[in-house]
Amino acid sequence: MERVSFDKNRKEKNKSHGQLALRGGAYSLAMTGIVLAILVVVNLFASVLPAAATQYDISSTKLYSITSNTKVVVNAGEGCDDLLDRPGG
Amino acid sequence: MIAVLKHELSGYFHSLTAYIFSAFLLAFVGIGALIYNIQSAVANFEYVLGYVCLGLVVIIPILTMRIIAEERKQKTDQLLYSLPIRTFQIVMGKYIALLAVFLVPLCIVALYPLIFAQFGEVYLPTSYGSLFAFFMMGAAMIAVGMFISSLTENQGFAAGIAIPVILLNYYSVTLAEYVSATASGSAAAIVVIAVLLGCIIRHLTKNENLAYGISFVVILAVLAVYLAERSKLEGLLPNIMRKLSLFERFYTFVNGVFDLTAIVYYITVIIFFLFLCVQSLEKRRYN
Repeated sequence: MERVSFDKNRKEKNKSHGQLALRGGAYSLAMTGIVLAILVVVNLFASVLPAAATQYDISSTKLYSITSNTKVVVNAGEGCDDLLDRPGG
Repeated sequence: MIAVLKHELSGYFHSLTAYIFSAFLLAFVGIGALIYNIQSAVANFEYVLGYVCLGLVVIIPILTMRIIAEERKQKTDQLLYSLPIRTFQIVMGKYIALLAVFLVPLCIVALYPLIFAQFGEVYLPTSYGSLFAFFMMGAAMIAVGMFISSLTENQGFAAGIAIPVILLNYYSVTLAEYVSATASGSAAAIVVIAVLLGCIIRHLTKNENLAYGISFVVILAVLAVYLAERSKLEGLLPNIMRKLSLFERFYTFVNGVFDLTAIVYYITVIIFFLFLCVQSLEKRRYN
């Protein structure tokens, strides 16, 4: 008789333990999902920002910046489109 | 949090760990500086960091392996749970202590470009920009290593998992060239991830119906996308693998571009793994 009640007790205990695991685990997973989603969105947002706002040229020879010389050449070239029509031009 | 931080710091600096870590990092950087700056007489200190970053794969797990695993082994984590602070503060205290240990050798390394500048033209913005990125990348790896340490109570196991994980991250760009770029390949990868997700859910919640249900829904969604818009899945797997690489974003700095999106990525990795670490510690309360 006593044994039966003990088993019953343990069963109830197991059940409540399972409930606890379910609640804790589900909460934990849901929060992880939410945090992951927020972080992915933040990264996507950062990646669509214009490159001029996020990437700075720190190379010693300014490899990734357009020099004033280039700008002069490009601006001068805009007027003469026939340059492009030449073979190899 | 300050108490945890102080305790961890004194633990690191009263044992050999911090010194061995610093010695290895300084030795790696020293060898790199010897090869590039002294032997080849190149005035770019950032190349040294680009060369040394592979060394982080080995030394970061050695630094992080004991941080939580040892507490669990010695059962002192029970003391942590009984502290009148939140789990988040425990994790932050430990993490900041690790960052401090990582920062000490980097402060010494920060002198190198100045020393080299005495003997030639060293362009400092690239050097210090790369050094900052190097620190951020290391900080992201420390967060990953700390989470892995919280999963086990065996230090060796923690390091033994963290090294392959970070190494896989190092090679993910190379591997991306070889994995299947077809729609079916990406779909298969997502199905595998869904099954793994189901296993994790079953382990965490001890509820099989929920686990199978969520896995099933994810697999169905992938199948629906695969059948309806196949082109969306094309190249998805290699693209994600390229995006996940911590090292690839660091090389942008070495090549002379200060990339804020990379910094944002490193911070997100840190937040995500510290969050997982908190969840992993919290799990011990309910499981």
